[in-house]
Amino acid sequence: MSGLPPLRSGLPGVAWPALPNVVAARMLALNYQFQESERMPPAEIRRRQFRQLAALADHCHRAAPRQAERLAAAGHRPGAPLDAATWRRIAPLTRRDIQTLGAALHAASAPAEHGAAGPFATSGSTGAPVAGVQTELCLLYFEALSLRDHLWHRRDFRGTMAAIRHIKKSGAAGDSVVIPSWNLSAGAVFGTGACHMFDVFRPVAEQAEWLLRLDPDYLLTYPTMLREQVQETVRRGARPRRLKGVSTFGEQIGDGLRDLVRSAWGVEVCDLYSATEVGYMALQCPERPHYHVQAESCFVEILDEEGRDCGPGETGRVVVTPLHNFAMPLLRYDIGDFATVGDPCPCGRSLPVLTRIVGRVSQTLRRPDGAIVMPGFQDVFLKPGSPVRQFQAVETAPQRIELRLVPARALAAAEEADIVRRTGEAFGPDYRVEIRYVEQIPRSAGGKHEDFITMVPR
Amino acid sequence: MTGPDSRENEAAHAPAALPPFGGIVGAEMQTTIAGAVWPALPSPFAMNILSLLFQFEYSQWLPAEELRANQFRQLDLLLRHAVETVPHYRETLLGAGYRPGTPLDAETWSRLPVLERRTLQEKGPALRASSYPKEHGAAAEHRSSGSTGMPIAVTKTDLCDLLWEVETLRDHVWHRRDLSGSLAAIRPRTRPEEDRPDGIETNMWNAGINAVYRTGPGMLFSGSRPLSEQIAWLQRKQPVYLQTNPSCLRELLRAFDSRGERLERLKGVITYSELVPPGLREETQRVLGVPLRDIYSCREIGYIALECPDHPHYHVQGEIVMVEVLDAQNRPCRPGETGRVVVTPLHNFATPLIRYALGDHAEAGAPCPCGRGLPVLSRILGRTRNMFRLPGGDGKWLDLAPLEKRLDLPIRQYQLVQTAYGAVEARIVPLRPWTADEEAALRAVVTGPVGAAGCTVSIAYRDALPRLASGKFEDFISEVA
Repeated sequence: MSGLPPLRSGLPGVAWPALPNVVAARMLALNYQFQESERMPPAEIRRRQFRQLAALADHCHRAAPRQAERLAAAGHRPGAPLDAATWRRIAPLTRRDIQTLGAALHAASAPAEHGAAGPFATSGSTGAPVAGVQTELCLLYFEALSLRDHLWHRRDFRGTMAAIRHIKKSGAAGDSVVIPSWNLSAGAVFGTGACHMFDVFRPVAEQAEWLLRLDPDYLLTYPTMLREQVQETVRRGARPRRLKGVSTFGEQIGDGLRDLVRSAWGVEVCDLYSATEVGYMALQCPERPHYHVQAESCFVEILDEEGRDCGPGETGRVVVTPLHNFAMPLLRYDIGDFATVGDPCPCGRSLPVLTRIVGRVSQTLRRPDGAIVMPGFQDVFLKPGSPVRQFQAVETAPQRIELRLVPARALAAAEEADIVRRTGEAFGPDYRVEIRYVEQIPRSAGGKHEDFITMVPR
Repeated sequence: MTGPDSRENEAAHAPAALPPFGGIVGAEMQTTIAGAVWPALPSPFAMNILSLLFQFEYSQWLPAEELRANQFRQLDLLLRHAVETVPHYRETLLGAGYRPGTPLDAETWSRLPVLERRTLQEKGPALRASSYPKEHGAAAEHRSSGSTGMPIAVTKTDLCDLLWEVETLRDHVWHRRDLSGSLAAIRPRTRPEEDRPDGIETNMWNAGINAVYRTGPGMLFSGSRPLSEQIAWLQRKQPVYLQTNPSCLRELLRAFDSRGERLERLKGVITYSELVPPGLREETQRVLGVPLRDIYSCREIGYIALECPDHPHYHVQGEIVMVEVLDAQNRPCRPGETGRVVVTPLHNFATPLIRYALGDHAEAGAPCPCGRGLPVLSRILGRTRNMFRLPGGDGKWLDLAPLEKRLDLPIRQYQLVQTAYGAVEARIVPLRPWTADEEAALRAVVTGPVGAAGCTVSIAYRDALPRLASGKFEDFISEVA
């Protein structure tokens, strides 16, 4: 507990303890509460979530007619207490609902103290972007949770951060962008090293070259991009020497990637589960490679096909309610992901546990026996020096897998046969696998990549 | 994501409890943003309190050397400021070998002269800084006779007040108090408007705490009203916490004990301002059935030490004060040794007090098994008080504040003694010979606002007023049985 890095003090004559500036004070006030809440009994966390949900529901009754209709349909009346039974009667809202309803989901007004409402649009990893508005208050909680992530993982704020991601830039493509701190909260509270950003759409060879040249302390990128970057540096016989940790976000983190990064670069991967429209849903536990739901920012339910809460070990749909977006309240939003519920974490944090984020419906496989899984075939390509630069498995018809490969060199027939065999084993005996060579596998507009997609309607 | 062996990995790790982190389960934090109930966004003032409390949650566990390094980092800024803005310190600090710009170390620090209470008394305003950073807020004057009846006055800034609130909250957090309960205070010092037969009642414990967490009601009763009224008031109010000084508490315990009564809702007693005499903790537990938790603070500095949540001794509040316990040769006392308490508030830039011997004695303690690196004081020897006796067996507390505020009277040290029901002797160590007008003014204060109405006041000049053998100093003694 003793290791809190030095804070920035905003008051002349005061170095320690620091008197932070207004932004930093907010971040610390929230993180003080996070430290409290992550130790609370689960029932107490839930009680507080329902207090916040009740405030959100009251706001919906006043200012968000569409959501008020859904509440009314579930039997909730303005001013009435909100209980779990009433809550469960609210039918989840789908991505399609949001796309169809659009601005009709916006509240007529939000409390002025929540700040201006700005637009957001998701990167549309599945070709179906979601757009909406969120207030400055949402960004405040987002930043506070970013700080929690840094504190949980004990990052050294003096270090340099590299981010290889989709960047909105005005200069020529390929330009890297440098900002003075990692993010708003860490910069305000502690002061950080710089954050260097590089465009994820540049060829991976350029990314690797940039990364090796920069030699940052931390790296933030998409899991699939990370895989390619690691493979590229291995091919070059190099590795980023100063690197202390890698954070991933935006995609499902495939089996074996953690091991690959550990063996090739000697560092751990820390994954974030977030979405533009709802913020952070879960952060990786500081002690275990699974996730803690960020219950202070959103109410996350994992529901089975009958709409019941999944128990530990069960996988279900992720239904999320952001607690603080009063500009566009999203009550019980079915974000389109699947996740697996975990047992309480031995680390002592009482925040709910997700052991796996299984991915979007289009990225999950429904086996003939009805089980929904994220196919784990990536290991086939994850050994250092793999002859395959990029891969994607596409279920083109029931139990037919087209394995799209971007080869680093021509593959021998035995290599091809080995890949087909091992991929087939990963999918199961009912699946037929065929290789198709392609020049590239395009990323989505947001720079995301899917290892597996299905074209079979469900 | 977890690999397939994740369950095995988890099973291999024994469940680990997180180190405790502040907070009070069940307490509701205030929010100033409509609709943002949880997590809350309280007022900017409250967020400053929480920002500091957040740091305190970590700093309390710092090893002693790291704590000391942080203190020196802050003290360096204070010393530079003192050299620039207070001629007395320019002379004494530079003379002792302090060089602004050279990092401060323990060796240099130990050479700096101790500021005696007497020097503060004599130099008074000359120790105030000619300027200080405006961001520290307004400065207000605080007066005290401390634990030795030697009145002094210092100025403190809004920043000092903020730190006071942080410490108040830390004390509640450490002792896991139920903030939704009521807090009753019985104070010998109250403002005239607070001296009412029904006491004063507000909807909060105090403004600082209530800015952060919603508290239960706060109630105040004047200790200058008869003891019988104090008891009756407590019985009516049935508070959850009682805050008072040890002398008041001792009298209350006697009264409750003789009646065989308790305060049914009471969960704890908080004392401050005087030494806790041997046996008082046990008596509190026996008579009222609750623990006594003491606070070591003084007006000119603020909080100095709080009771450990887990052990019956005090932790120096090292984030806001540097405390040294020094022997007669100004060497640091070892654990178990008793010496003078020498305090340096880290953040008072209005009246810098550097190595200030405030007049108390304490016993240095060994490092605490609780794991906190904050230094330990195992015993504090301060002031004690007596009740002013009334004919018929009742008693009341005199309010010495009006006397302490009379800085125009040339008092180095004082002590009032009730020699008979209608007679008070004022023992005075004079700064210079008194005039007849000054003597008349003293008599008027003692029989007026202090509360010894109708008494004859004799004045006895002394060279010194010693402590009792126990280390206590009594600023008011009643010789009436």
